[in-house]
This record gives sequence, structure tokens and C-alpha cells, in this order.
Amino acid sequence: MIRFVLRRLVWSALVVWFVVSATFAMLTIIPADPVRALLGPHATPKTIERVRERYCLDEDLIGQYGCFVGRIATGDLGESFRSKRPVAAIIADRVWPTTQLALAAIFLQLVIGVPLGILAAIRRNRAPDYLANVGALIGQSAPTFFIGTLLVYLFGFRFGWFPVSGYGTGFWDRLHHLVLPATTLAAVGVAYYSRVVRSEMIEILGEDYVRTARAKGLGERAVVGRHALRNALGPLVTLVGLDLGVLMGGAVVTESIFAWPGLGREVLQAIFEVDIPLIIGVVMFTAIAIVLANLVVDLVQAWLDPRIRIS
Amino acid sequence: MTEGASATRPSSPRRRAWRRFAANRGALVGGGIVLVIIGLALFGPWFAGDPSTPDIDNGLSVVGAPLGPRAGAWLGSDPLGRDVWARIIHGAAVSLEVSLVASLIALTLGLAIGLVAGYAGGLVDTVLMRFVDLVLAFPFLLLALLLAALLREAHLSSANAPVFITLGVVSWTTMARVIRGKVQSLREAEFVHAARAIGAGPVRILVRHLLPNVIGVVVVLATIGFAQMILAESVLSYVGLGPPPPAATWGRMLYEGQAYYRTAPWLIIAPGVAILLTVVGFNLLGEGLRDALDPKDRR
Repeated sequence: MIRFVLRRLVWSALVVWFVVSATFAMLTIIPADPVRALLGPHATPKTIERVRERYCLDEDLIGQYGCFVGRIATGDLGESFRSKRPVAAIIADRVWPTTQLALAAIFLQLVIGVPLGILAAIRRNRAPDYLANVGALIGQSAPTFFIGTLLVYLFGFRFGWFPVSGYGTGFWDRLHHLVLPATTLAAVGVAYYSRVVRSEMIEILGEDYVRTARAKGLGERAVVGRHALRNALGPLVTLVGLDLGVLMGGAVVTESIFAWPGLGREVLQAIFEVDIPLIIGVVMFTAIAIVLANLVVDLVQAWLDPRIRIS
Repeated sequence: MTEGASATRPSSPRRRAWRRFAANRGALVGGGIVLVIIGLALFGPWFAGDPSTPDIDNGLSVVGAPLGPRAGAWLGSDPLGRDVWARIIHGAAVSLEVSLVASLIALTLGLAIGLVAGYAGGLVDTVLMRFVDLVLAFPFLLLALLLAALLREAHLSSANAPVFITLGVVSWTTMARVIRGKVQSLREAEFVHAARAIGAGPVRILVRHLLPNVIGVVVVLATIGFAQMILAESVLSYVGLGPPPPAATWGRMLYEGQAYYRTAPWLIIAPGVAILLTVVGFNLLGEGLRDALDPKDRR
């Protein structure tokens, strides 16, 4: 187990290093004037000088690379060109809203997607399965910004049930503000989770131990709920972990539609204003979140299933 | 699939695959949608009208609000009085063109890396597949946004180049993985040994013997990948990193329409449904092709 953990740790470090290097390569290889790309068209000579110094642009390529990696390795993400605040402080401000949105979306994916998948599996090739299938197809094919805008139009404007933008203050108000963005963000996941649970359940319902459970006279509810479901949920541990990692980078489109003050909206604004230090900061943060999520998923899986540790 | 058909005609694998495809309602619906959209994108721009010149006289009300669906403009007008239907048609052409070039880039990268890794094996395979893992570990959307934003600053010769380069470069990994697995399983097949025995070199074996055997998988992955490309292009367009104006793109139409969603909901519904239908079409077609070409995977 220790060897396995060590191997995964080394791999995680490698991934972070790769993301840092690839970001550097993109900034270097793409034939834009780096200073202009970093500062936008309205830079004053003084800020240009500061950026040249900061990114060691007067040194050779290896010097620039060392400079870039060195700063990030020491946790120095620089400061945003737009707001002049340290990037790390901006990210710290945005993490909590993003976390709430991510958790709410995953909650919805689980409480809607899993029952849908079970229903589709036990009513296979009948109306509920057919409907869940069509729903999943639409959920996977509709762009997030379309779903979000439709929800705003219907439940925000037409029915007026939920606020269409902002963060809310206090627990209930926050929850009220969370409903539409979380639903928007969860749409794809609900479709995906229901498909995964469906195919897992179909496979498991054909297993010997399910037949045994039925043979010994258990009711359908106990067979599905206790014996089959518990084994079908294994892959969901992986899915939830990976989703959480990705969602921690912020839901760019969803947060922008609903003016949710998270990382995704921040990074989109940063991209519009070519605020490169802030973009790099968020990319690094997200990469680390994804790597950590993968690491935790791997370790939990290895802890649950000894076969993984050996291979 | 009827008994009579198989009795009267000789049954080749290709004919059996076609029959499975023709019996699959979803596949036919998907194929139909795809054909209609390709037809509209190819020939629509000739008769759909002008998508980019503002038309204040005919498209706006006396107080300057966009007019809704009516005779002569069945999808309504946008805030500049332009015909939404004409813009949807031109948007189809832009979307398909960008997605096609991006798919070709992804296909070339994925195929080359998958074939080489699968056939070479050993260290080459390990290094290439670890590289795939690394690319997959990158936050996908952020990578695309960053790349598109930087490429836009690079002033490339084609205005759409930043978009299709971005989409192509970020989406070849699935193809590479699947092809590599397929080639690995075929590498020791008898026909490959036979080719080697008569003196065929690795390039000839890859191109003449292995490539034809993975074409089915490639077609399926490329079709489903195409649906993803359309979606990704619409997201880039929505956030302002897609093909630049004056090109009409579905994503940007929806973004611009959002400001008017209370008074002119057709401005969000028309492009949204266009994207949804196109993506559904390619997804259904891809799944139908998979079921037809590889019936083992069917559930």
C-alpha cells in the first residue's frame, strides 16, 4: 500500500509540473508579443518594464522557464493586472462560492441521477427507461448556457420562483439563489449518472448473488435496494471525486449566467481582459484540485479493492 | 431485419451492418437530422437571405424592439432587425466548417499517436500513453479558453484558426487511447504476421493492414466527437472566443440574445434549439453506427 501511495504521489507531482510547463510553453510558443499578451494594448512603459522583469523576459528561454517555475513553486502567483490585488488572495475569495455551487450540483446529480438510473434499469425497455434515455440524450446534448438561459426565462421570469442572479445573504436566501445555477450545472451530470447507474444495475441484476437473494425469497425492494444498489454505487465514488475536482475550477458558463461570484466567472473576466497572471493562477489552482481529487479517488478505490494496489 | 432479406441476398458484414443500422430508429432519426443540417449549411446560404446587414425598417417595431416570428421571418428578427433564420443557416455553415477542420486535426493527431503507440509497444507506448494521461489531467475547458485567448492574440492568417486549432489540440486523446487498444489487440493477428513474413515494413503494415481494420472505430468516435466539437465551438462562441464577427455563430447569437430574454425569447430559443438538434443528431448517428458496426457492445 505504501508503494502504491508513493507511486500515486509522484505521478500527481508530475501532472502538476506538466500543467505548469505546458502553460509556460503556450505563453512562449504562440507568436504573440508576450508583453502585449500579458498586459493588453493599454500598458504604460512602467508596467511593461515591471512585467519584463517579473517574467525574466530579458533572459534566454531556460532562464525564463526557471523564473516561471520558480515563482509558482514558491506560491507566488503575482498580482492581477486589472485589480492590482495578489492572485492568491483573489482565488481565496472565490473558492467558497465555487465550493458551494459544486457541492449543490453534485448533490442534485446524485439525488436525481441515481434514482432515474435505477428506475430505467428495473423498467428496462419500457416507458420509464425510454423517457430516461431521451432525457439523458438531451441533457448530454444541450449546451449549459442554453439550459441556464431557459431556466432563467421560465423559473426566474415567467413564474418568478427563483432569483436569477447573485449570491444571497444568510442560509435560506443563499439556498434560494443556489437553485437555478445548481440545476443548470447538474443537468449534464444527471444525464451521465443515470446512464452509468442504469448499465451497472443491469449488469448486477444478472449476477448470481442477485438470483440467490431472489431465490431465498427476498422481496424485489430488498433485492434492488440492498443487494444490487450497494454494488452499483462503486463507480459513482470515482465519478463524484472527479466531478468535484473539475467543478472546483469553477463553472465558467454557469457562474457567468447567474453572476455567481466564483472562480469560473473570475477566470472568464480575466480571459476577456487578457489578465494572464490571474488566468495562470486559476489554471494552476484547478489543476491541483483535479490532481488531488484523482489522488483521493485512487486511494479510496485502492483501500476498498486490494486488486488495484497490486497492478 | 427480416428473414426474407437474408435469404434472397448474400450477406456480407457490410450489408449486415447496414441492415442493423436501418432497423435502428434512433440511428435513422440522427442520420436524418445530420443530413438536413449538412444540406442547410451547404445550400441554405444561397436562399436564406442576408445574415449580417442591419434592417431597421423591416425587423424592428416603431419603438425599436425586435419583431417576433411572423410571415416572412418565421424565427423573428434580432435587435438589429436581421432575420434570425438567415443567421441560423449561416451559423450552421460556420459551426460545421469549424468543427470539421477541428475534427480532422484531432483525428490526425489521435490516429497517428494511437497507431504508433499500439504498434510499437514497449517504451514508446508507455511514454505516449503517459503523455495522453497528462493531457487528460489538464482542466479541459480552462485549457481551451487559455489556448483560444492566446491564439487570438497571435493574429493568425485565418480568423477561424484559433478556434479550430484549440478544439483540435484539446480533443484527440480519446481517439488515441481507443485506437491504441485496438491496434494492440491486432498486432499479433495472423494477417499481420503474414504481412511481416512477406517482408512488409512497419509503415506498410500500419497503413495497409492495421488502418483498414480500425476504420469502423474511427468513424464511430469521429461522429460522436463531432457532436462534442459542435458543443465546444458553441461554448467558445458564447464566451466570445469563437469565430469573430461578422460571422454569425449560434453561441454568440445566444449570448447576444440573453439581454433580451424577457421581451424576445426567440433570440435564445432559436440558436439553442439549433445547437441541441445538431448535437443530438450527431450523437444518435454515432451511437447507431456503433451498434451497427460493433454489435457486441450493444445493451
